[in-house]
Amino acid sequence: MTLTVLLAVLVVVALILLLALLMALWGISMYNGLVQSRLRTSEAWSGIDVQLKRRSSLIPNLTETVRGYAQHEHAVFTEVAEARGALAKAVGPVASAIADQSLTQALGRLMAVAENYPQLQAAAGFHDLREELRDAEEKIAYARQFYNGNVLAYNTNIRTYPGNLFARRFHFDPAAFFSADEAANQDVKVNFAGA
Amino acid sequence: MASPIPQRVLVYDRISQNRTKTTFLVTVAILSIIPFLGCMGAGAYAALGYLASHTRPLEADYQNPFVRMQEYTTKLAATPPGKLRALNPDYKRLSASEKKLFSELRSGQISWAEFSQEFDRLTQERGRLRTETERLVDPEGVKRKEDRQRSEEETRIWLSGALAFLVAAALTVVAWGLMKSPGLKALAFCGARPAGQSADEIEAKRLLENLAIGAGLPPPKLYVIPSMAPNAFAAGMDPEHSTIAVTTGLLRLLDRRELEGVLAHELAHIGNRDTRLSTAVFAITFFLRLPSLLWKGARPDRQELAGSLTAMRYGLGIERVALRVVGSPVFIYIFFVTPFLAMLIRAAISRGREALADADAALLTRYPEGLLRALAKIAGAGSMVGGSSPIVSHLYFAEPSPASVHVGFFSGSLLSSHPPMEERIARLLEFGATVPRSVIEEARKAGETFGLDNLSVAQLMAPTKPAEDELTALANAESRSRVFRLSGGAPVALYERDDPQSSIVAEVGPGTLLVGFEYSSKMRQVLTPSQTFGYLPRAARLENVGMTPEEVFHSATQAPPATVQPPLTAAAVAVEAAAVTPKPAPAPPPGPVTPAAVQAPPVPKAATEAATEPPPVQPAAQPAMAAPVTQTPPSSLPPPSAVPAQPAARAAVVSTQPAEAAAPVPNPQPGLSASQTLAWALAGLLAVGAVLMGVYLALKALTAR
Repeated sequence: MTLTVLLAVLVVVALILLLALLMALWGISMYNGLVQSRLRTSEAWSGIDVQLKRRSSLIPNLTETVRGYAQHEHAVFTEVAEARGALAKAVGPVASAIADQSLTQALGRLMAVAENYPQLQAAAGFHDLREELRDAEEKIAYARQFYNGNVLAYNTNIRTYPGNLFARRFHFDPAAFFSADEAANQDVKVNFAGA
Repeated sequence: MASPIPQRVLVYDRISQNRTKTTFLVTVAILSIIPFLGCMGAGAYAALGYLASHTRPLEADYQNPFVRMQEYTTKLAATPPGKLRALNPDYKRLSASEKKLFSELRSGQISWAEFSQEFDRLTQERGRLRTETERLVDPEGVKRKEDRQRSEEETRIWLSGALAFLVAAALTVVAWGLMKSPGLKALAFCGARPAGQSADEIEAKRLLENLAIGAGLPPPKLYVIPSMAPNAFAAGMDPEHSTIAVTTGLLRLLDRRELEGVLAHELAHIGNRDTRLSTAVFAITFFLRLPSLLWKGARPDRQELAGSLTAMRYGLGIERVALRVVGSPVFIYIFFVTPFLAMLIRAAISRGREALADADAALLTRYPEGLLRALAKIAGAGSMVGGSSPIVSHLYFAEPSPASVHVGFFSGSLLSSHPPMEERIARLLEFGATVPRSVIEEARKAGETFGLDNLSVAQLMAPTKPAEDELTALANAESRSRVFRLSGGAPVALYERDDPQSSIVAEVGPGTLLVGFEYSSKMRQVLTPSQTFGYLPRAARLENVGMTPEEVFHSATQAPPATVQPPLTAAAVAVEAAAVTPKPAPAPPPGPVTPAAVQAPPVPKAATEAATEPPPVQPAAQPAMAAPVTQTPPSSLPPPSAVPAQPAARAAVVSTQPAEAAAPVPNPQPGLSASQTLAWALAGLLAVGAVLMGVYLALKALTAR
């Protein structure tokens, strides 16, 4: 009789332990998944960073080439240089996105100015530079897309049940999209320090 | 720069729908294996039971006195009843009622069918009576006999289980080995070369790099296939070692945005690990279809199989036996239900993955219109690439082979690896609804014009190619391409068809290296170093050369491409080739090229002819040849490799022989080393042999009485 009771108790305890083990495994995989997607997001961010730097490194060459034909367009050169400086100083996706946008606009104006100088258009180096710039911009666009895709997945993970339980406890903060439009309604804290 | 997709949420929906669908289909495929294994196990069990009960199958036939009686049928008819005893020693063992049956048969009172039925019954009755008598006389002995039978039974069950498991394991291994990146081997044989030679190709490479950034994948290598049929494909088992190949026709036909769409589609295949998925699915479906493939493939053997069935040999009760075999649920399931189910599942998965790749590409480029226009253009131009095989067709951007896979009465869209172009276009329209119909029509028109200008008649007319199932491919791998050197004094003509009356494609001088294929055609099918395909009279003398086809083609491309060149001495070619590629460890063994040496399945002759039929402008008579191989393709013709590469790639796709695995030249990363390949090939042969044996025995057991 006692043996039967003991057995029953043992079975129940074993079942509970098994359940607990399963829960723990599930929790661990959940946590790991969140960490992984956060890491991916920051990795994707570094992808954008690389492409932004790549474009920035093209700019001095470009401005010098344009300056050779159009010395008097000081305003544009200053604007480009300032935008480039701002981008270098910008930290985080939102600030970078805004700085990137103004740099793109400044570069657009520079190109518009270049349109007025047929000799410049004919210069061999200028054509290559322009192509390279276009390529860099395209690469930024794709890197941004990859980053935003990752952010979307990560934010979805930490905001939907049951991920949100973990996110709150372990401080998984939402990441910001690389988008200048979002700056207006953007007040999320960006923190990759934990990643 | 990229315009956003208006219906982005819909894209996400479609993508997740597709994922669910694939999971479901794969589950169904895996589940359908279980009853199949059960049936195979039952077959194996029956076969082993048959083996265990009769020591030798042939002898078993003769253990039946009835059978021996039949051999004397003619004599019996002519022998007076009194002498029957002397004629057949078995006669005296027959019971009175059996003897009566015989006399009835002889006098024509009953038919053969009635006789055999009645005789069976009597024999069984006699056996039962004997056992009962034995039980009465010697109970111990009978018990011992029964015990022995029971233990035999148990052994058989274990054995059949083990056999079924072994067969499954071996097959999976074989399928995996065969499918280990078939695309890469196909690439090597299509004459693909790394991109980067022209501005177009550099641009395509750059596009691909950018797209890879967007997809978060390492940029795949880009190859160019010299074919005017616009198509592309992705290969490689994992993103780190992936390759995308585009045809020159694709580069020429599409503009930048459209090309971007196509590349994004291929990249999506890589990102979704479709090669790996389809390999797994291939392994499963190949396994499920194997018995029926063997049944179809072993046509001459089937006659023999039928002949070995006693009842059939003596023309008795054929209907009864046939009905028993074909009507048995095991047979129906193994030979009719599963293969069809497997094909259906595979095609459905493939189509689902295509749709998924389309959606992913739209999401990646954020510009569905590009992909849409590309699809319309390719639909207009036709996408058939010579050298493709249904086994790799799911890797292509558009269906590379005409929809011609038949299973029974079913064919067409249900079994094709790609959704119809209209459906793909319609689905993309869902995502980027702003594209007007006229844009699509325009693109299609452009594609049609391109096709008319650049593709051969054969490609446009979509020759009906019989289904090239996996088994055919396996057998073709056996009859692999070999390199030969033409010996003899005079140059030999290469005909365009399997007919000495047909026009001459090229003329090859003595000492030329040729890649020969072993197909059952009247003339030998060869490829010249410049990849001209033609038929060589069997009278031409050839020597075996221990080289791989890639070496030959590569040395040809290394040489200046001008058509007129000093005759390459074979030694020079060999030296050059040796410098380029390390020789494979086991050189192909020398042997005669007779098609009888291998079990070559009937080559789709009509198809080959149709496929190799050049446009009518091909000059019938060529000018005198200065070089060993000369050809004068007019500019409107496709490059010779476009069509003729077909048998080569078909042989290459699933082959595991050392020749092809030895570092394909255009691709720096070989699939397998020579020793590995040898091991694979051995394992494959063993497994195929085991399966053949098993199926044969199972059939025999099922039909045995």
